[in-house]
This record gives sequence, C-alpha cells and structure tokens, in this order.
Amino acid sequence: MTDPQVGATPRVALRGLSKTFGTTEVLREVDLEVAAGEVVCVIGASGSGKSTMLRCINLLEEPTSGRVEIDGIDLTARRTDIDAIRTRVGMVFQQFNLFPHMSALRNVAIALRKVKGLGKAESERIARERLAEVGLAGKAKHRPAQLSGGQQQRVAIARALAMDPDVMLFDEVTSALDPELVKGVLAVMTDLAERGMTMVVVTHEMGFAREVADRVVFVDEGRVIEDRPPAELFGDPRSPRLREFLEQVL
Amino acid sequence: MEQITRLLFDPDIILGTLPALLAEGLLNTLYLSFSGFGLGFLVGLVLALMGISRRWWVRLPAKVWIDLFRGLPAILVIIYVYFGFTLSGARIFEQRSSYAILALTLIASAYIAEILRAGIQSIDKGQMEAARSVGMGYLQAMWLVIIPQGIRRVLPPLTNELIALIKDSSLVFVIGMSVGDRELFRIGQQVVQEQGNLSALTAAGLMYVAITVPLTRVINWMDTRLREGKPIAADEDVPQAAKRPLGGR
Ligand SMILES: Nc1ncnc2c1ncn2[C@@H]1O[C@H](COP(=O)(O)OP(=O)(O)O)[C@@H](O)[C@H]1O
Ligand SMILES: [Mg+2]
Repeated sequence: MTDPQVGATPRVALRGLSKTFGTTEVLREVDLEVAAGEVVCVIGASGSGKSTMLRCINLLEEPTSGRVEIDGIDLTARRTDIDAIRTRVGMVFQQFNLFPHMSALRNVAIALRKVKGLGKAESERIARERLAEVGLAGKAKHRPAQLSGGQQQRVAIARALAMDPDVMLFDEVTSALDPELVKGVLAVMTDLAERGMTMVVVTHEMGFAREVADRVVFVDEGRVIEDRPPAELFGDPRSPRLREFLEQVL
Repeated sequence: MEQITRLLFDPDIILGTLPALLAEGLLNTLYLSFSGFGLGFLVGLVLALMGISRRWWVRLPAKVWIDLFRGLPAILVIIYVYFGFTLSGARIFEQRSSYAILALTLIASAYIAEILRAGIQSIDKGQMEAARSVGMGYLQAMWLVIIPQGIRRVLPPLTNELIALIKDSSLVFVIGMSVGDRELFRIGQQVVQEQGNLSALTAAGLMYVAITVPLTRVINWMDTRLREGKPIAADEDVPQAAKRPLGGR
C-alpha cells in the first residue's frame, strides 16, 4: 500500500522461473518483481501453478531453472543459507499447518526461541504481542484443536509475523474457512498491508485483490499473462483467458 | 488330573519360588527389558530417520540392520552377541547382563525403527513445511515438530513392542546368568531342573502376565483415546503399522 521504491532492488524477484514435476510443466519462464512494501495478489484457475510459484519464493519447491531473489540474494545459489532466508520470508498456508501438540503461544514462540535463539521470557513476550495483533490475546493457552478455523489461521499469521519477516506469502489462506470466518482473517491481512508489509497473496477473494493489492497478477498454465494494477486488470481485462476466468469467478 | 495339577500348580513350590522371583527375577527382567527398550528406542529413532532419507546410501544400512534383526530369531541374536564376543576374546563388557541388554537393544531397535518410521511418515507434509518456513533446519523440525507428533500416534504399537521385549528377555537364559542376575524365566527353569516339577515356571509365567496385562490395558485405553479423537492425536487416523494386532510377533 505504500509507494513502491522505484529503481531499488526488488524485495522479491522471480527471473525466468520454471518448474516441472516429472513431465508436467507447472511454471514456464515466470518473471515477477515485488518491491518493498508492495502487495501483489496472484489469481488464476485451480492448477494453474499459483501455489508452486509461491512455494518457490521460499524454496519449499526447488525451481527446475531460473532464479529466485530476495533483496537481490539468489536463493538457488549453493552457498545461500536457506534456513536464514526463510526467517525473512513468512508463509501462511491454506490448511493453517499449526503445530497441534503446542499451545497457540508456543506455536508463535517456538521459532523465536529455537531459531532466533531468544530467551523464554523474551520470545513469549513477542509471541503475546503478535497474538494480540491478530486479535487473539485471550487464546494463548489454547491448543489449535480448541480454536475455530479463522482463529487458527490468525495464529498461523502471528507465527509467521513473529519472525519479523520482510515478505509475507499467503496461499489461499481463506479457502478452507467457513464463510463467516473469512472476514476476520482478511481484516488482519488488510491491516498488515496498511502497515507496509510486502505481501504476495494467492487468493480467490477478488474483493480483497481489488481493494488491497497494488498489482494483480493473472497466472494461466504456468505463465504470467497479465500483471497490472487491480482497477485496470479488473476493469479492462485484455486476454481472453482472463476474461473467461473473471466471468467464472465474479 | 491330580497329577497334572501337582505338576503345574504345586502350591508349596510356587510359594517357595516366589521370594526369589520377586526379589531377584522381577527386578532383573524389568531391568533387562526396559534398558533394551530404552536404548533400542534411541537406536530405532536414528534408524527411522535414516530410513526416510532421500539418499540411498543412508537408507541402505538402516534397511539391512532392520531386516537382519527382525529376521533373526531373538535367541540367535542373544547367542551371537554373548558367545560371539566372549568366545572370540572381545570381552567388551564385564557383566553378562550387559551382553543381554545389547542383544535386546539390537532386537528392539529394528522393530521400534519400523514403528517410528510409520509414525513419522503419517504426519502431514504441511507440518514439515510450516516448520521449515519459520527457519527451522530439517533435523530441528523433525525433533521439535514431527517426532513428538509421530510418537504420539504410535504409542500403542510401541507399548506392544515393550511387551514383546519383556517376553523375549526370557531368552537370555542361554547366557547362563548367575545367582543375583537371573531373570524370571531362569529362576523358574533352575527350580524345574532341580525338582522335576513345572510349578516354578507357572509362578514365573504368572509374573510375566502380571507385568504385561496392565501394559495391554494401557494400549487399549490409548487405542480408544486415539479412535475417539481425544487429545493424544486430535486430527488424523492412526497409521497402518499402528494397527498391528497385539502380540504382533
Ligand atoms: N508435488 C507435486 N508433484 C506433482 N505435481 C504437482 C505437485 N505439486 C503441484 N503439482 C501439479 O502442478 C500443477 C499446479 O499446481 P499448483 O501450483 O498447486 O496450482 P494452483 O495453486 O494454481 O491450484 C497442478 O497440475 C498440480 O497437479
Ligand atoms: Mg494452490
């Protein structure tokens, strides 16, 4: 939501990124730049490669060819410490993936303690702050199974935020939620965007993309077909595939 | 009929053997089997992690180890370990019971490795991804996130394995423990040889049952909790390996 710093090194850059599973080409020469503070929404049909693209950004998937850069650092280079980079890239998953054997507080605190090496008191203090930010100050002691889907997803967001990342990746984070719980999660994400977080958001929530995104990227069959500000992309879709897609979802 | 009763249930012999069974045999049986299980668990955990490695040369030694010690009769492993070391002059331990524990460790490690591997592999892939995405390394994620959940899922078969090992510990009689170090079976067996009457083994057998039945109850209780989705594992089904019937070997 803040003005992208024109000319600066992009926070995230995908350069000629390709990914094949066996013989299936899932991503084909994807180029994408996300400036610091920018919010980019990624839309496209199911199976078009959105998740794979997002998962390449923190190397949960290894690209077949091409490069992934965070602040100009090539993640695919052999000597890059990927664990260190991952602390700077937060990820939120469709299925939450909270650690079910830990309380909400410990879910958020554990990486602070075990990855960043902070003390118990310090990591719990930060974890409580993050939980409060997503509106769950009162749920610190709860296990994931004792929380609603929407609350679990907000804990997952707090867990990613705890590491104080430079970028946040969201993969259809409201798709597994009951409709009445979607709003709360989107509100947290909107708030985050307004505070200047760099975000890449794979979503089916066209309202969110229209209102919060600086740019919307339409992916089809592993290619970026359109990459434009939301008002333009939704108001004047150029490619027939995008028009087709929008007719189906809107 | 009366003869058979006398042969198996002579009250004088049973009562006469009981003090030694309780004071010496029970303690040694528990010592041997719990030590074997504990050490076997540690080795089994390493084997389980090796078994899911992407590298074949890490998987291969684990597979050979597991196949070997699951494939050999327990008594053969015990004989090889004890007589193999002592007769070849490689007296690595002073006490016979240490050889017994080593043998039981080898046996337990193979079974436990397979149980733990099944438990670990039953955990949703998203757990590892979430752990890695906050910056944990592979082994750190395993240790903090995957293994604790995986073990919970396989508590029933692990307990089952403990029961099997307690029973297998009777086979260390072949080592010929001396008085003070004898476990339940050897004490019973020696009395049988002296008296030509099986009642002492009946007494020993009752002791095994007294240990294993409560453990079986614990398994059933855990199984119920797992099936009803209570705290042990809230979300997913117990993996196939965990459903092995009691007395799986
Ligand atoms: N691990 C995998 N192995 C094989 N094929 C995969 C794997 N992950 C994704 N795919 C395939 O890649 C394509 C794109 O998947 P994905 O990136 O999940 O799409 P989207 O998120 O847009 O729905 C799909 O055809 C899917 O089946
Ligand atoms: Mg997807």
